[in-house]
Amino acid sequence: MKRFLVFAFLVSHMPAFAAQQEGGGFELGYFAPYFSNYGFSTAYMFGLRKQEIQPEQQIDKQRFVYFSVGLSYFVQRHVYRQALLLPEIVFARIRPTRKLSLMPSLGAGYLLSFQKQEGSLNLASGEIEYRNELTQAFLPQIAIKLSYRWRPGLGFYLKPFYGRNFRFQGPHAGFFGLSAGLSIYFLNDKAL
Amino acid sequence: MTRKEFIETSMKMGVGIPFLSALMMESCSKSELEFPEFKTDFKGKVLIIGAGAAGLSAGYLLKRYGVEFEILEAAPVYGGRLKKAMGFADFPIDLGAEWIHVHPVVLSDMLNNKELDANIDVLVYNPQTIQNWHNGKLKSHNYIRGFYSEWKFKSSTWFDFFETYMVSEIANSIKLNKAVTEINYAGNQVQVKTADGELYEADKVLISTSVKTFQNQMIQFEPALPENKIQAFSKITMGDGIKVFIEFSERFYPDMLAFGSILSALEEEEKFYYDAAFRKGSNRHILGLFAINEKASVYTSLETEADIIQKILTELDEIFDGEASPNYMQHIIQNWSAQPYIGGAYSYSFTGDQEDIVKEISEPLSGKLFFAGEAHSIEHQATVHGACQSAYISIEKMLRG
Repeated sequence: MKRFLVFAFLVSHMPAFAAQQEGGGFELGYFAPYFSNYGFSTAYMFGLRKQEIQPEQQIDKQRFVYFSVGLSYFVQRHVYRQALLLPEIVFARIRPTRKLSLMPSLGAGYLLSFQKQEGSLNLASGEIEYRNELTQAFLPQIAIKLSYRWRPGLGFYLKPFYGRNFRFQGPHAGFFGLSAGLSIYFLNDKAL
Repeated sequence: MTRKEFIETSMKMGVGIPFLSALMMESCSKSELEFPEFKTDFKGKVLIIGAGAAGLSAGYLLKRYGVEFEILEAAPVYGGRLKKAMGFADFPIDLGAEWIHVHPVVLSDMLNNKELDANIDVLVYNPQTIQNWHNGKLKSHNYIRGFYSEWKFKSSTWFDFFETYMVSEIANSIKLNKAVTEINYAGNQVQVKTADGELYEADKVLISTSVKTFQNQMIQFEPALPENKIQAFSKITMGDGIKVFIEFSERFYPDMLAFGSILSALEEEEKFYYDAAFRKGSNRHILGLFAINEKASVYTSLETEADIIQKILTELDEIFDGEASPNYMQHIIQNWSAQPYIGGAYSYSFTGDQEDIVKEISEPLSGKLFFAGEAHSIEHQATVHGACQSAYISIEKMLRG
Protein backbone atom coordinates (compact mmCIF):
# COMPACT_ATOMS: atom_id res chain seq x y z
CA MET A 1 0.00 0.00 0.00
CA LYS A 2 2.82 2.44 0.86
CA ARG A 3 4.54 1.82 -2.48
CA PHE A 4 1.29 2.36 -4.31
CA LEU A 5 0.65 5.60 -2.48
CA VAL A 6 4.11 6.96 -3.30
CA PHE A 7 3.80 5.88 -6.92
CA ALA A 8 0.30 7.25 -7.26
CA PHE A 9 1.31 10.50 -5.61
CA LEU A 10 4.12 10.99 -8.12
CA VAL A 11 1.90 10.05 -11.06
CA SER A 12 -0.90 12.31 -9.92
CA HIS A 13 1.29 15.28 -9.16
CA MET A 14 3.84 15.21 -11.98
CA PRO A 15 1.54 16.87 -14.51
CA ALA A 16 0.93 19.67 -12.11
CA PHE A 17 4.48 20.87 -12.19
CA ALA A 18 4.30 21.15 -15.95
CA ALA A 19 0.87 22.64 -15.80
CA GLN A 20 1.49 25.51 -13.45
CA GLN A 21 1.88 27.89 -16.30
CA GLU A 22 -1.59 26.95 -17.63
CA GLY A 23 -3.55 27.78 -14.50
CA GLY A 24 -5.30 25.44 -12.08
CA GLY A 25 -4.76 24.59 -8.50
CA PHE A 26 -4.05 22.18 -5.74
CA GLU A 27 -6.56 20.71 -3.32
CA LEU A 28 -6.17 19.02 0.00
CA GLY A 29 -9.17 17.76 1.90
CA TYR A 30 -11.00 15.35 4.11
CA PHE A 31 -12.36 12.41 2.18
CA ALA A 32 -15.43 10.55 3.45
CA PRO A 33 -16.81 7.82 1.18
CA TYR A 34 -20.14 6.55 2.49
CA PHE A 35 -19.86 9.52 4.88
CA SER A 36 -18.46 7.23 7.55
CA ASN A 37 -15.18 6.15 5.98
CA TYR A 38 -12.45 8.66 6.61
CA GLY A 39 -9.24 9.71 4.99
CA PHE A 40 -7.70 12.47 2.91
CA SER A 41 -7.53 13.42 -0.70
CA THR A 42 -5.16 15.55 -2.73
CA ALA A 43 -5.63 16.67 -6.29
CA TYR A 44 -3.93 18.82 -8.88
CA MET A 45 -6.14 20.59 -11.37
CA PHE A 46 -4.77 22.31 -14.40
CA GLY A 47 -6.36 24.10 -17.31
CA LEU A 48 -7.04 22.29 -20.56
CA ARG A 49 -9.27 24.74 -22.29
CA LYS A 50 -10.42 28.26 -21.65
CA GLN A 51 -13.09 30.17 -23.51
CA GLU A 52 -11.43 32.95 -25.42
CA ILE A 53 -12.96 36.36 -24.95
CA GLN A 54 -12.37 39.17 -27.36
CA PRO A 55 -11.65 42.54 -25.77
CA GLU A 56 -14.88 44.00 -27.17
CA GLN A 57 -17.08 41.17 -25.74
CA GLN A 58 -19.12 41.79 -22.61
CA ILE A 59 -19.35 38.30 -21.11
CA ASP A 60 -19.90 37.80 -17.41
CA LYS A 61 -19.30 34.03 -17.47
CA GLN A 62 -16.30 32.24 -18.82
CA ARG A 63 -16.14 28.51 -19.56
CA PHE A 64 -13.17 26.41 -18.52
CA VAL A 65 -12.21 22.76 -18.81
CA TYR A 66 -9.69 21.41 -16.36
CA PHE A 67 -7.93 18.12 -15.98
CA SER A 68 -7.58 16.96 -12.41
CA VAL A 69 -5.57 14.08 -11.03
CA GLY A 70 -6.44 13.11 -7.48
CA LEU A 71 -5.12 10.68 -4.96
CA SER A 72 -7.21 9.65 -1.97
CA TYR A 73 -6.57 7.36 0.93
CA PHE A 74 -9.37 6.26 3.23
CA VAL A 75 -10.30 3.57 5.69
CA GLN A 76 -13.28 1.78 7.11
CA ARG A 77 -11.96 1.03 10.53
CA HIS A 78 -11.12 -2.62 11.11
CA VAL A 79 -12.39 -3.51 7.64
CA TYR A 80 -10.26 -1.99 4.86
CA ARG A 81 -7.73 0.58 3.73
CA GLN A 82 -8.15 1.91 0.24
CA ALA A 83 -6.27 4.17 -2.15
CA LEU A 84 -7.95 5.81 -5.11
CA LEU A 85 -6.15 7.31 -8.08
CA LEU A 86 -8.72 9.42 -9.89
CA PRO A 87 -8.19 11.42 -13.09
CA GLU A 88 -11.14 13.71 -13.82
CA ILE A 89 -12.33 16.18 -16.39
CA VAL A 90 -13.75 19.21 -14.62
CA PHE A 91 -16.11 21.66 -16.29
CA ALA A 92 -16.61 25.16 -14.97
CA ARG A 93 -18.56 28.27 -15.87
CA ILE A 94 -17.10 30.94 -13.74
CA ARG A 95 -18.08 34.53 -13.08
CA PRO A 96 -14.86 36.28 -12.15
CA THR A 97 -16.85 38.66 -10.00
CA ARG A 98 -18.40 35.88 -7.88
CA LYS A 99 -16.70 33.91 -5.17
CA LEU A 100 -18.87 30.80 -5.50
CA SER A 101 -18.77 28.46 -8.46
CA LEU A 102 -20.08 24.99 -9.31
CA MET A 103 -17.86 22.54 -11.13
CA PRO A 104 -19.29 19.24 -12.37
CA SER A 105 -16.77 16.57 -13.20
CA LEU A 106 -16.42 13.14 -14.76
CA GLY A 107 -13.75 10.75 -13.62
CA ALA A 108 -12.49 7.20 -14.04
CA GLY A 109 -10.40 5.90 -11.18
CA TYR A 110 -8.38 2.95 -10.04
CA LEU A 111 -9.12 1.69 -6.54
CA LEU A 112 -6.71 -0.47 -4.59
CA SER A 113 -8.08 -2.04 -1.44
CA PHE A 114 -6.59 -4.01 1.40
CA GLN A 115 -9.49 -5.84 3.02
CA LYS A 116 -9.27 -7.39 6.43
CA GLN A 117 -10.89 -10.79 6.07
CA GLU A 118 -10.13 -12.50 9.33
CA GLY A 119 -7.73 -12.42 12.21
CA SER A 120 -6.27 -14.28 15.11
CA LEU A 121 -7.18 -12.71 18.43
CA ASN A 122 -4.77 -13.17 21.29
CA LEU A 123 -7.02 -13.62 24.29
CA ALA A 124 -4.40 -12.40 26.74
CA SER A 125 -3.50 -9.15 25.04
CA GLY A 126 -6.65 -8.55 23.00
CA GLU A 127 -4.54 -7.88 19.92
CA ILE A 128 -5.60 -9.18 16.53
CA GLU A 129 -3.25 -10.24 13.79
CA TYR A 130 -5.29 -9.70 10.62
CA ARG A 131 -5.03 -11.52 7.34
CA ASN A 132 -5.68 -9.18 4.41
CA GLU A 133 -6.82 -9.59 0.85
CA LEU A 134 -5.96 -7.24 -1.96
CA THR A 135 -8.70 -6.23 -4.37
CA GLN A 136 -8.67 -3.82 -7.30
CA ALA A 137 -11.49 -1.96 -8.93
CA PHE A 138 -12.31 0.40 -11.77
CA LEU A 139 -14.25 3.35 -10.46
CA PRO A 140 -16.08 5.74 -12.79
CA GLN A 141 -17.43 8.71 -10.92
CA ILE A 142 -19.41 11.88 -11.31
CA ALA A 143 -19.14 14.75 -8.89
CA ILE A 144 -20.15 18.33 -8.45
CA LYS A 145 -17.81 20.60 -6.62
CA LEU A 146 -18.89 23.74 -4.85
CA SER A 147 -15.89 26.00 -4.85
CA TYR A 148 -15.58 29.12 -2.75
CA ARG A 149 -12.78 31.56 -3.53
CA TRP A 150 -11.97 33.13 -0.21
CA ARG A 151 -9.09 35.30 -1.35
CA PRO A 152 -6.70 35.31 -4.33
CA GLY A 153 -4.91 31.99 -4.37
CA LEU A 154 -6.95 30.43 -1.58
CA GLY A 155 -10.39 28.89 -1.25
CA PHE A 156 -12.49 26.02 -0.01
CA TYR A 157 -14.40 23.28 -1.69
CA LEU A 158 -17.20 20.85 -0.94
CA LYS A 159 -17.55 17.93 -3.31
CA PRO A 160 -20.28 15.28 -3.15
CA PHE A 161 -19.62 12.40 -5.51
CA TYR A 162 -21.25 9.26 -6.81
CA GLY A 163 -19.71 6.39 -8.71
CA ARG A 164 -19.64 2.65 -9.22
CA ASN A 165 -17.05 0.35 -7.78
CA PHE A 166 -16.44 -2.26 -10.50
CA ARG A 167 -14.23 -4.83 -8.85
CA PHE A 168 -11.91 -6.77 -11.12
CA GLN A 169 -13.06 -9.83 -9.21
CA GLY A 170 -16.17 -9.79 -7.11
CA PRO A 171 -19.45 -7.94 -6.80
CA HIS A 172 -19.86 -4.31 -7.81
CA ALA A 173 -21.26 -1.62 -5.57
CA GLY A 174 -22.23 2.02 -5.47
CA PHE A 175 -19.61 4.47 -4.28
CA PHE A 176 -20.68 7.80 -2.86
CA GLY A 177 -19.67 10.30 -0.27
CA LEU A 178 -18.27 13.71 0.33
CA SER A 179 -14.95 15.46 0.17
CA ALA A 180 -14.21 18.87 1.62
CA GLY A 181 -11.10 20.91 2.05
CA LEU A 182 -8.76 23.65 1.04
CA SER A 183 -8.00 24.85 -2.50
CA ILE A 184 -4.78 26.62 -3.40
CA TYR A 185 -4.94 28.26 -6.82
CA PHE A 186 -2.03 28.98 -9.04
CA LEU A 187 -1.75 32.71 -9.04
CA ASN A 188 -1.69 32.99 -12.81
CA ASP A 189 -5.20 31.52 -12.93
CA LYS A 190 -7.27 34.63 -13.15
CA ALA A 191 -10.53 32.70 -13.28
CA LEU A 192 -10.15 30.74 -10.09
CA MET B 1 -28.02 7.61 24.18
CA THR B 2 -28.05 3.91 23.40
CA ARG B 3 -27.25 2.41 20.02
CA LYS B 4 -30.91 1.63 19.50
CA GLU B 5 -32.06 5.09 20.50
CA PHE B 6 -29.48 6.67 18.25
CA ILE B 7 -30.71 4.67 15.27
CA GLU B 8 -34.32 5.51 16.05
CA THR B 9 -33.55 9.20 16.48
CA SER B 10 -31.53 9.29 13.30
CA MET B 11 -34.39 7.71 11.40
CA LYS B 12 -36.93 10.10 12.85
CA MET B 13 -34.74 13.03 11.87
CA GLY B 14 -34.51 11.59 8.40
CA VAL B 15 -30.77 11.57 8.37
CA GLY B 16 -30.70 7.86 7.64
CA ILE B 17 -27.71 6.07 6.37
CA PRO B 18 -24.86 8.55 6.90
CA PHE B 19 -25.36 8.81 10.62
CA LEU B 20 -26.47 5.22 10.91
CA SER B 21 -23.30 4.15 9.24
CA ALA B 22 -21.14 6.30 11.45
CA LEU B 23 -22.89 4.79 14.40
CA MET B 24 -22.41 1.27 13.13
CA MET B 25 -18.74 1.91 12.59
CA GLU B 26 -18.38 3.25 16.07
CA SER B 27 -20.44 0.47 17.59
CA CYS B 28 -18.14 -1.99 15.92
CA SER B 29 -14.93 -0.37 16.93
CA LYS B 30 -14.44 -0.67 20.62
CA SER B 31 -15.13 -2.70 23.67
CA GLU B 32 -16.80 -1.07 26.60
CA LEU B 33 -16.68 -4.00 28.96
CA GLU B 34 -14.55 -3.51 32.02
CA PHE B 35 -13.54 -6.47 34.08
CA PRO B 36 -14.35 -5.52 37.69
CA GLU B 37 -11.40 -5.06 39.99
CA PHE B 38 -12.33 -4.49 43.64
CA LYS B 39 -11.70 -5.68 47.17
CA THR B 40 -14.17 -7.78 49.11
CA ASP B 41 -14.35 -9.52 52.45
CA PHE B 42 -17.47 -11.50 51.53
CA LYS B 43 -17.27 -15.01 53.04
CA GLY B 44 -20.73 -16.40 52.28
CA LYS B 45 -22.21 -18.54 49.55
CA VAL B 46 -23.75 -17.33 46.31
CA LEU B 47 -26.35 -19.14 44.24
CA ILE B 48 -26.65 -18.31 40.57
CA ILE B 49 -29.89 -19.17 38.82
CA GLY B 50 -29.42 -19.74 35.12
CA ALA B 51 -26.32 -20.92 33.24
CA GLY B 52 -26.58 -18.69 30.21
CA ALA B 53 -24.02 -16.07 29.26
CA ALA B 54 -24.74 -13.94 32.34
CA GLY B 55 -24.83 -16.85 34.81
CA LEU B 56 -21.64 -18.42 33.50
CA SER B 57 -19.86 -15.05 33.51
CA ALA B 58 -21.00 -14.48 37.09
CA GLY B 59 -19.61 -17.88 38.09
CA TYR B 60 -16.34 -17.12 36.34
CA LEU B 61 -16.01 -13.86 38.27
CA LEU B 62 -16.93 -15.45 41.61
CA LYS B 63 -14.32 -18.13 41.03
CA ARG B 64 -11.76 -15.42 40.36
CA TYR B 65 -12.62 -13.83 43.72
CA GLY B 66 -12.58 -17.16 45.52
CA VAL B 67 -16.25 -17.01 46.53
CA GLU B 68 -18.21 -20.24 47.11
CA PHE B 69 -21.02 -20.56 44.58
CA GLU B 70 -23.31 -22.93 42.72
CA ILE B 71 -25.13 -22.45 39.42
CA LEU B 72 -28.59 -23.98 39.00
CA GLU B 73 -29.64 -24.50 35.41
CA ALA B 74 -33.16 -25.62 34.52
CA ALA B 75 -32.23 -27.13 31.16
CA PRO B 76 -30.21 -30.32 30.67
CA VAL B 77 -27.38 -28.25 29.13
CA TYR B 78 -25.66 -25.01 30.06
CA GLY B 79 -25.37 -22.09 27.69
CA GLY B 80 -28.87 -20.67 27.55
CA ARG B 81 -29.09 -18.85 24.25
CA LEU B 82 -25.53 -19.91 23.47
CA LYS B 83 -25.88 -23.13 21.54
CA LYS B 84 -24.08 -24.81 18.69
CA ALA B 85 -24.69 -27.51 16.12
CA MET B 86 -21.85 -29.82 15.15
CA GLY B 87 -21.93 -32.08 12.14
CA PHE B 88 -24.51 -30.20 10.11
CA ALA B 89 -21.81 -28.44 8.12
CA ASP B 90 -18.03 -28.61 8.05
CA PHE B 91 -17.93 -25.79 10.58
CA PRO B 92 -19.78 -25.40 13.87
CA ILE B 93 -22.99 -23.41 13.63
CA ASP B 94 -24.21 -20.93 16.22
CA LEU B 95 -27.84 -21.81 16.82
CA GLY B 96 -28.20 -18.91 19.22
CA ALA B 97 -25.98 -15.86 19.63
CA GLU B 98 -23.74 -15.65 16.58
CA TRP B 99 -22.34 -12.20 15.91
CA ILE B 100 -19.75 -10.36 17.95
CA HIS B 101 -21.30 -6.92 17.89
CA VAL B 102 -18.29 -4.97 19.12
CA HIS B 103 -14.58 -5.25 18.55
CA PRO B 104 -13.43 -8.79 19.43
CA VAL B 105 -11.13 -7.38 22.08
CA VAL B 106 -14.26 -7.73 24.20
CA LEU B 107 -13.52 -11.47 24.37
CA SER B 108 -10.20 -10.72 25.98
CA ASP B 109 -11.83 -8.17 28.28
CA MET B 110 -14.42 -10.70 29.40
CA LEU B 111 -11.73 -13.15 30.47
CA ASN B 112 -9.16 -10.65 31.72
CA ASN B 113 -6.47 -13.27 31.96
CA LYS B 114 -3.08 -11.96 30.92
CA GLU B 115 -1.49 -15.37 31.38
CA LEU B 116 -3.83 -17.10 28.98
CA ASP B 117 -1.80 -18.57 26.14
CA ALA B 118 -4.54 -18.87 23.55
CA ASN B 119 -5.64 -17.40 20.25
CA ILE B 120 -9.05 -17.51 18.71
CA ASP B 121 -9.85 -17.00 15.03
CA VAL B 122 -12.39 -14.33 14.21
CA LEU B 123 -13.66 -13.14 10.86
CA VAL B 124 -14.65 -9.70 9.73
CA TYR B 125 -18.34 -9.98 8.95
CA ASN B 126 -18.57 -7.47 6.14
CA PRO B 127 -21.08 -8.97 3.68
CA GLN B 128 -20.16 -8.09 0.11
CA THR B 129 -23.48 -8.76 -1.61
CA ILE B 130 -26.56 -7.37 0.07
CA GLN B 131 -30.05 -7.44 -1.34
CA ASN B 132 -33.50 -6.60 -0.09
CA TRP B 133 -36.89 -7.98 -1.05
CA HIS B 134 -39.44 -5.24 -1.06
CA ASN B 135 -42.81 -5.00 -2.80
CA GLY B 136 -42.08 -8.12 -4.83
CA LYS B 137 -38.74 -6.84 -6.12
CA LEU B 138 -35.21 -7.90 -5.38
CA LYS B 139 -32.72 -5.04 -5.26
CA SER B 140 -28.99 -4.89 -4.62
CA HIS B 141 -27.51 -2.65 -1.96
CA ASN B 142 -23.89 -3.71 -2.05
CA TYR B 143 -22.79 -0.21 -1.04
CA ILE B 144 -23.78 -1.14 2.50
CA ARG B 145 -20.54 -3.11 2.71
CA GLY B 146 -18.84 0.29 2.74
CA PHE B 147 -20.10 1.03 6.22
CA TYR B 148 -21.54 -2.07 7.84
CA SER B 149 -19.39 -4.66 9.53
CA GLU B 150 -19.33 -6.81 12.62
CA TRP B 151 -17.36 -9.87 13.66
CA LYS B 152 -17.97 -13.59 14.03
CA PHE B 153 -16.06 -16.57 15.23
CA LYS B 154 -14.38 -18.26 12.27
CA SER B 155 -13.97 -21.86 13.31
CA SER B 156 -15.69 -21.87 16.67
CA THR B 157 -18.81 -20.42 18.28
CA TRP B 158 -19.93 -18.30 21.19
CA PHE B 159 -20.77 -21.55 22.98
CA ASP B 160 -17.23 -22.84 22.39
CA PHE B 161 -15.78 -19.64 23.77
CA PHE B 162 -17.72 -19.93 27.02
CA GLU B 163 -17.18 -23.66 27.29
CA THR B 164 -13.45 -23.48 26.71
CA TYR B 165 -12.54 -20.45 28.76
CA MET B 166 -15.24 -20.07 31.42
CA VAL B 167 -17.05 -23.37 31.96
CA SER B 168 -13.74 -25.21 32.13
CA GLU B 169 -13.00 -23.31 35.34
CA ILE B 170 -16.42 -23.65 36.96
CA ALA B 171 -17.87 -26.90 35.60
CA ASN B 172 -18.00 -28.54 39.03
CA SER B 173 -20.28 -25.80 40.32
CA ILE B 174 -22.92 -26.15 37.59
CA LYS B 175 -25.99 -28.27 38.37
CA LEU B 176 -28.18 -29.11 35.38
CA ASN B 177 -31.89 -30.01 35.32
CA LYS B 178 -32.54 -27.82 38.35
CA ALA B 179 -35.53 -25.69 37.49
CA VAL B 180 -36.04 -23.17 40.27
CA THR B 181 -39.68 -22.83 41.31
CA GLU B 182 -39.51 -20.83 44.56
CA ILE B 183 -37.20 -18.28 46.12
CA ASN B 184 -37.71 -17.24 49.72
CA TYR B 185 -35.59 -14.27 50.72
CA ALA B 186 -37.43 -13.33 53.90
CA GLY B 187 -34.83 -14.73 56.30
CA ASN B 188 -31.11 -14.24 56.72
CA GLN B 189 -30.44 -16.96 54.20
CA VAL B 190 -32.11 -17.16 50.81
CA GLN B 191 -33.89 -20.48 50.29
CA VAL B 192 -34.27 -21.77 46.76
CA LYS B 193 -36.51 -24.69 45.83
CA THR B 194 -36.22 -26.61 42.58
CA ALA B 195 -38.83 -28.58 40.67
CA ASP B 196 -37.30 -31.87 41.80
CA GLY B 197 -37.93 -30.88 45.42
CA GLU B 198 -34.37 -30.00 46.42
CA LEU B 199 -33.71 -27.03 48.69
CA TYR B 200 -30.65 -24.81 48.38
CA GLU B 201 -29.54 -22.08 50.73
CA ALA B 202 -27.24 -19.20 50.09
CA ASP B 203 -26.36 -15.77 51.46
CA LYS B 204 -26.98 -14.10 48.16
CA VAL B 205 -28.64 -15.10 44.91
CA LEU B 206 -28.06 -13.84 41.39
CA ILE B 207 -31.00 -14.45 39.05
CA SER B 208 -29.86 -14.46 35.44
CA THR B 209 -32.84 -16.11 33.80
CA SER B 210 -34.56 -14.72 30.72
CA VAL B 211 -37.09 -11.90 30.92
CA LYS B 212 -39.82 -14.41 30.06
CA THR B 213 -39.34 -16.31 33.33
CA PHE B 214 -40.36 -13.14 35.18
CA GLN B 215 -43.16 -12.22 32.80
CA ASN B 216 -44.60 -15.74 33.00
CA GLN B 217 -44.04 -15.88 36.79
CA MET B 218 -42.19 -19.17 36.50
CA ILE B 219 -40.55 -18.54 39.88
CA GLN B 220 -42.59 -17.77 43.00
CA PHE B 221 -40.96 -15.22 45.32
CA GLU B 222 -41.49 -14.91 49.06
CA PRO B 223 -41.97 -12.08 49.79
CA ALA B 224 -43.42 -11.31 46.38
CA LEU B 225 -41.42 -9.16 44.01
CA PRO B 226 -42.24 -5.46 44.39
CA GLU B 227 -44.98 -4.27 42.07
CA ASN B 228 -42.61 -1.76 40.46
CA LYS B 229 -40.25 -4.53 39.43
CA ILE B 230 -43.06 -6.70 38.08
CA GLN B 231 -44.37 -3.73 36.10
CA ALA B 232 -40.90 -2.97 34.77
CA PHE B 233 -40.45 -6.53 33.50
CA SER B 234 -43.85 -6.34 31.82
CA LYS B 235 -42.70 -3.28 29.87
CA ILE B 236 -40.04 -5.27 28.05
CA THR B 237 -40.93 -6.85 24.74
CA MET B 238 -39.21 -10.15 24.17
CA GLY B 239 -40.76 -11.58 21.04
CA ASP B 240 -40.49 -14.89 19.28
CA GLY B 241 -37.14 -16.01 17.94
CA ILE B 242 -36.10 -18.62 15.42
CA LYS B 243 -32.96 -19.56 13.53
CA VAL B 244 -32.99 -21.95 10.61
CA PHE B 245 -30.05 -23.25 8.62
CA ILE B 246 -30.58 -24.90 5.26
CA GLU B 247 -27.98 -26.56 3.08
CA PHE B 248 -28.41 -26.19 -0.67
CA SER B 249 -26.57 -27.97 -3.45
CA GLU B 250 -26.03 -24.70 -5.33
CA ARG B 251 -25.71 -21.16 -4.18
CA PHE B 252 -28.34 -18.72 -5.45
CA TYR B 253 -28.50 -16.19 -2.61
CA PRO B 254 -26.47 -13.10 -1.63
CA ASP B 255 -24.35 -12.74 1.48
CA MET B 256 -27.31 -11.04 3.13
CA LEU B 257 -30.97 -10.69 2.20
CA ALA B 258 -33.12 -8.19 4.08
CA PHE B 259 -36.85 -7.59 3.91
CA GLY B 260 -38.81 -4.39 3.51
CA SER B 261 -37.27 -1.03 2.74
CA ILE B 262 -33.55 -1.20 3.27
CA LEU B 263 -33.49 1.54 5.91
CA SER B 264 -36.18 -0.08 8.02
CA ALA B 265 -34.56 -3.48 7.55
CA LEU B 266 -31.28 -2.13 8.88
CA GLU B 267 -33.01 -0.39 11.72
CA GLU B 268 -35.26 -3.21 12.86
CA GLU B 269 -32.97 -6.17 12.17
CA GLU B 270 -35.97 -8.46 12.63
CA LYS B 271 -35.56 -10.84 9.73
CA PHE B 272 -32.83 -11.65 7.28
CA TYR B 273 -31.32 -14.54 5.43
CA TYR B 274 -27.56 -14.74 5.34
CA ASP B 275 -24.77 -16.88 4.03
CA ALA B 276 -23.84 -18.76 7.19
CA ALA B 277 -20.65 -20.02 5.55
CA PHE B 278 -19.42 -16.49 4.81
CA ARG B 279 -15.61 -16.48 5.22
CA LYS B 280 -15.80 -19.74 7.16
CA GLY B 281 -13.50 -21.47 4.71
CA SER B 282 -16.24 -23.87 3.65
CA ASN B 283 -17.42 -24.90 0.20
CA ARG B 284 -20.84 -25.88 1.51
CA HIS B 285 -23.84 -23.69 0.74
CA ILE B 286 -25.48 -23.01 4.09
CA LEU B 287 -28.16 -20.35 4.22
CA GLY B 288 -29.20 -19.03 7.62
CA LEU B 289 -32.50 -17.45 8.56
CA PHE B 290 -32.63 -15.13 11.54
CA ALA B 291 -36.08 -13.90 12.59
CA ILE B 292 -37.47 -12.32 15.73
CA ASN B 293 -40.75 -10.85 16.94
CA GLU B 294 -43.71 -11.05 14.54
CA LYS B 295 -41.35 -11.95 11.72
CA ALA B 296 -40.46 -15.08 13.69
CA SER B 297 -44.04 -15.81 14.77
CA VAL B 298 -44.88 -16.52 11.14
CA TYR B 299 -42.69 -19.62 11.45
CA THR B 300 -42.89 -20.50 15.15
CA SER B 301 -46.69 -20.61 14.98
CA LEU B 302 -46.54 -23.49 12.48
CA GLU B 303 -47.12 -26.95 13.86
CA THR B 304 -44.25 -28.96 12.48
CA GLU B 305 -40.68 -28.49 11.26
CA ALA B 306 -41.81 -29.71 7.86
CA ASP B 307 -44.33 -26.85 7.72
CA ILE B 308 -41.62 -24.34 8.63
CA ILE B 309 -39.23 -25.60 5.97
CA GLN B 310 -41.95 -25.69 3.36
CA LYS B 311 -42.87 -22.09 4.14
CA ILE B 312 -39.25 -20.99 3.90
CA LEU B 313 -38.65 -22.82 0.61
CA THR B 314 -41.82 -21.34 -0.87
CA GLU B 315 -40.67 -17.89 0.18
CA LEU B 316 -37.18 -18.41 -1.27
CA ASP B 317 -38.58 -19.87 -4.47
CA GLU B 318 -40.66 -16.73 -4.97
CA ILE B 319 -37.64 -14.48 -4.40
CA PHE B 320 -35.09 -16.50 -6.38
CA ASP B 321 -37.19 -17.78 -9.29
CA GLY B 322 -37.75 -21.28 -7.99
CA GLU B 323 -34.10 -22.05 -7.22
CA ALA B 324 -34.56 -23.04 -3.59
CA SER B 325 -36.67 -26.19 -3.63
CA PRO B 326 -34.69 -28.06 -6.31
CA ASN B 327 -31.42 -27.35 -4.48
CA TYR B 328 -32.63 -28.13 -0.95
CA MET B 329 -30.55 -30.76 0.85
CA GLN B 330 -31.07 -30.61 4.62
CA HIS B 331 -31.98 -28.23 7.43
CA ILE B 332 -31.72 -27.57 11.12
CA ILE B 333 -34.19 -25.47 13.10
CA GLN B 334 -33.71 -23.76 16.44
CA ASN B 335 -37.04 -22.46 17.72
CA TRP B 336 -36.13 -20.30 20.71
CA SER B 337 -39.77 -19.56 21.46
CA ALA B 338 -40.31 -23.24 22.18
CA GLN B 339 -37.50 -23.43 24.73
CA PRO B 340 -39.35 -23.68 28.06
CA TYR B 341 -36.96 -21.55 30.15
CA ILE B 342 -36.14 -19.02 27.46
CA GLY B 343 -39.35 -18.50 25.52
CA GLY B 344 -38.18 -16.15 22.78
CA ALA B 345 -35.30 -14.25 21.24
CA TYR B 346 -34.12 -11.42 23.49
CA SER B 347 -35.29 -8.14 24.93
CA TYR B 348 -36.15 -6.02 21.92
CA SER B 349 -38.07 -2.93 22.91
CA PHE B 350 -39.17 -1.13 26.03
CA THR B 351 -42.50 0.54 26.71
CA GLY B 352 -41.18 3.66 28.35
CA ASP B 353 -37.71 4.89 29.15
CA GLN B 354 -35.28 2.00 28.79
CA GLU B 355 -32.91 3.42 31.38
CA ASP B 356 -35.66 3.64 34.03
CA ILE B 357 -36.95 0.16 33.26
CA VAL B 358 -33.50 -1.42 33.35
CA LYS B 359 -32.69 0.38 36.58
CA GLU B 360 -35.88 -1.01 38.12
CA ILE B 361 -35.39 -4.62 37.01
CA SER B 362 -31.74 -4.57 38.04
CA GLU B 363 -32.30 -3.11 41.50
CA PRO B 364 -31.19 -5.67 44.14
CA LEU B 365 -33.76 -6.75 46.74
CA SER B 366 -32.99 -6.75 50.46
CA GLY B 367 -29.29 -6.91 49.65
CA LYS B 368 -29.80 -10.58 48.88
CA LEU B 369 -31.37 -10.92 45.46
CA PHE B 370 -29.47 -9.63 42.46
CA PHE B 371 -30.38 -9.65 38.79
CA ALA B 372 -28.45 -9.93 35.51
CA GLY B 373 -28.91 -10.81 31.86
CA GLU B 374 -28.88 -9.27 28.42
CA ALA B 375 -31.93 -7.11 29.17
CA HIS B 376 -30.08 -5.55 32.11
CA SER B 377 -27.45 -3.89 29.96
CA ILE B 378 -28.29 -0.41 28.75
CA GLU B 379 -25.49 0.08 26.27
CA HIS B 380 -25.20 -3.49 25.08
CA GLN B 381 -28.73 -4.79 25.43
CA ALA B 382 -29.51 -8.02 23.60
CA THR B 383 -25.89 -9.06 23.24
CA VAL B 384 -23.72 -11.72 24.83
CA HIS B 385 -21.13 -9.26 26.07
CA GLY B 386 -24.01 -7.14 27.43
CA ALA B 387 -25.20 -10.12 29.47
CA CYS B 388 -21.65 -10.67 30.70
CA GLN B 389 -21.26 -7.00 31.55
CA SER B 390 -24.51 -6.97 33.54
CA ALA B 391 -23.36 -10.04 35.49
CA TYR B 392 -20.03 -8.43 36.33
CA ILE B 393 -21.77 -5.27 37.51
CA SER B 394 -24.24 -7.24 39.68
CA ILE B 395 -21.54 -9.41 41.23
CA GLU B 396 -19.46 -6.34 42.02
CA LYS B 397 -22.49 -4.76 43.70
CA MET B 398 -23.10 -7.98 45.60
CA LEU B 399 -19.57 -8.53 46.87
CA ARG B 400 -18.88 -4.94 47.73
CA GLY B 401 -21.84 -5.13 50.05
